[in-house]
Amino acid sequence: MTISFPHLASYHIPITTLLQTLFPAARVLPPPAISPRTLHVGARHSPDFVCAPFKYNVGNFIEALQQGADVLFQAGGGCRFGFYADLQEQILRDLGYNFRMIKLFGSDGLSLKKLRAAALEAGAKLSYPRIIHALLIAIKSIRLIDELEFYARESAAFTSDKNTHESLLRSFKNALLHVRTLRGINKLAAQFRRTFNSVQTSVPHNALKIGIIGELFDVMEPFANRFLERELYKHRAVVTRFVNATYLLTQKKKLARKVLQDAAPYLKYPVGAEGTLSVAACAALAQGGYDGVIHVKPFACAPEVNAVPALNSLSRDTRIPVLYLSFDTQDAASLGMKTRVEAFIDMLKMKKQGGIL
Amino acid sequence: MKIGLPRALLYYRYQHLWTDFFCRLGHEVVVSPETNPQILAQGIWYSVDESCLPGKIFLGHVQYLIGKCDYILIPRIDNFGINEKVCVKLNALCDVVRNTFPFAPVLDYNIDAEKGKSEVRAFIQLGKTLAHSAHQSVCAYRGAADFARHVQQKEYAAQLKKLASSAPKILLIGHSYVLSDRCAGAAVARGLERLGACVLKADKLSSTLTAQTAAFNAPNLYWTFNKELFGAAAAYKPHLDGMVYVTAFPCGVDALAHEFALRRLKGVPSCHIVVDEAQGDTGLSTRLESFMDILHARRLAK
Repeated sequence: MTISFPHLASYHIPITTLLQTLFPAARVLPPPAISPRTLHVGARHSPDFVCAPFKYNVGNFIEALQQGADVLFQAGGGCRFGFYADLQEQILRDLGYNFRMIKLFGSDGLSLKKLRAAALEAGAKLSYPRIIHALLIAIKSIRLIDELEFYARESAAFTSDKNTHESLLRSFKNALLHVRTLRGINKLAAQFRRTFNSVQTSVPHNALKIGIIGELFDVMEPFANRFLERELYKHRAVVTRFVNATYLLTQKKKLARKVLQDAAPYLKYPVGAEGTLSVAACAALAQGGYDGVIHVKPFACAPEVNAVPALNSLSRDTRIPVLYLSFDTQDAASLGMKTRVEAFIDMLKMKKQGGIL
Repeated sequence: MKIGLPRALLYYRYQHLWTDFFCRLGHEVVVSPETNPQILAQGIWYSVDESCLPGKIFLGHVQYLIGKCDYILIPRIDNFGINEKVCVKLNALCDVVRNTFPFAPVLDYNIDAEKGKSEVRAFIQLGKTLAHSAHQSVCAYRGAADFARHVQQKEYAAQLKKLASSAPKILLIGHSYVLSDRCAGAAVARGLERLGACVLKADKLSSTLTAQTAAFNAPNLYWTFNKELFGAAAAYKPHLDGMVYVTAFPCGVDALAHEFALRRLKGVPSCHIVVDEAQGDTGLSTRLESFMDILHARRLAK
């Protein structure tokens, strides 16, 4: 049995560890890293104007199946995500692949019972404490990834050697691959917090501060937004974002009401998925003295399209500039993004210097 | 009071309920005209580029109604229960309108059954805004709902009669607001009828029947409107000569649900038509003609 699942940023590391613990007899094989080929293959077998994450997922699945995977995991969620698994299963079957699809998350969230049943079916009899332990490790790793990345985003542009943070994050992730215990994660956390702290950074007091908001997949998956964050570091900007796996797994439900309050008076009701958060986050960024906001979404993403009129009013009222970027499957998306970001940064600089804007 | 109803999106589903409800409470109802190129152009102008065609048309109708009535009715629907969701576009209609037209007199009600906000409660809330007691609103709602159900059954019965026709029977599968809108999908039905087909519509079928068939064929589908369409397609498949799926560009829900139906409901010739704001009808008639040719050829071969 070979298990695989779709990619999302670098979360394949904790997911691999988790699945390997739950299914000790199986081989856990994350799909090959997302490449232009993944997207081409995915787009070719997906409906034309389905949202881009669907196409990435299909590409991941096909590449994993080609490498011998025969059990696929797919999550689910709000908006259209909940129906991904069904259609993807149908598409892959029509292509002639033989596999089993396990839908782990319903729209009602993660259930221990489902997890245990799936593990039992695969021949591993696990006790609940064991499963909870494995989940804790996964959540802790996810939190740590998010924490270090959050820190890196704020100062990556200002290290003396440009790639310091990126290579540090890479070695952290390589180390995380081999950690199987809570204590190991704690040790790793302490070690890398220290290393990150010891890196010399000099953030100038007038550095450009930019917030990224938008749809979760396109915000989190660097390939999907064509490495937008790296592009911003090149322009020497402090970057921050709100959406990450920690938020989605542990905070989203708790904060739902507060997020809607923060989005008032621009929104009266939740507008679906992360749309409400986009508006609330944009308001917070405006209040926090950020210089600009970049809104990222897959083409025609309904919740984010819903949020755009509110973002427009917010931008008009608080004078915070917002750049809207949509991504689909075009090869030239990276160039388009770079040009637009460069122009945006130029305008932010002019505004900051009290120029014509 | 004069209540404006934009003739777009949910209007095609709730028109009888709404008009009857407001009439019973003694209000006047103003409905915007059938979508025309001008309304469409206004809608496109005020909308976010990537918004779907029905969404754009909706804003055009709202813009038309501003200044012509005291209130514009814009419902907000999230779900009708567990696994009975609607497109997220409908979660945000009134917020989109409020931000696009800050001075529009929006009258909204909120259906979110998962959180205990049922349709009746939504209509009580609606009545309250118009200064009616809960009792008055509930009575008006009950009467209006009965009336709407009655009309729906009549339409359903009329459609059943069509099944006896000898012309090639084609089922149109698409949301009412696409199939019935003049600038969206109405041209599809017109084109097929001109070519001699007997056109049935998936949105004019008994919803209890379609819910059952949908639950059987696509248990994980959770969009109520698409469940009904899927169910109708599955239920009527044996009587049909062809099925035409009609999607408005770029409807994400249909992209998933129609694709699923196309792959699952095999055995009947199917055709998928996407309508957009470009309004070119030459491409459409070419596709409909060739589809009809195939159906005729199949009939001859039998």
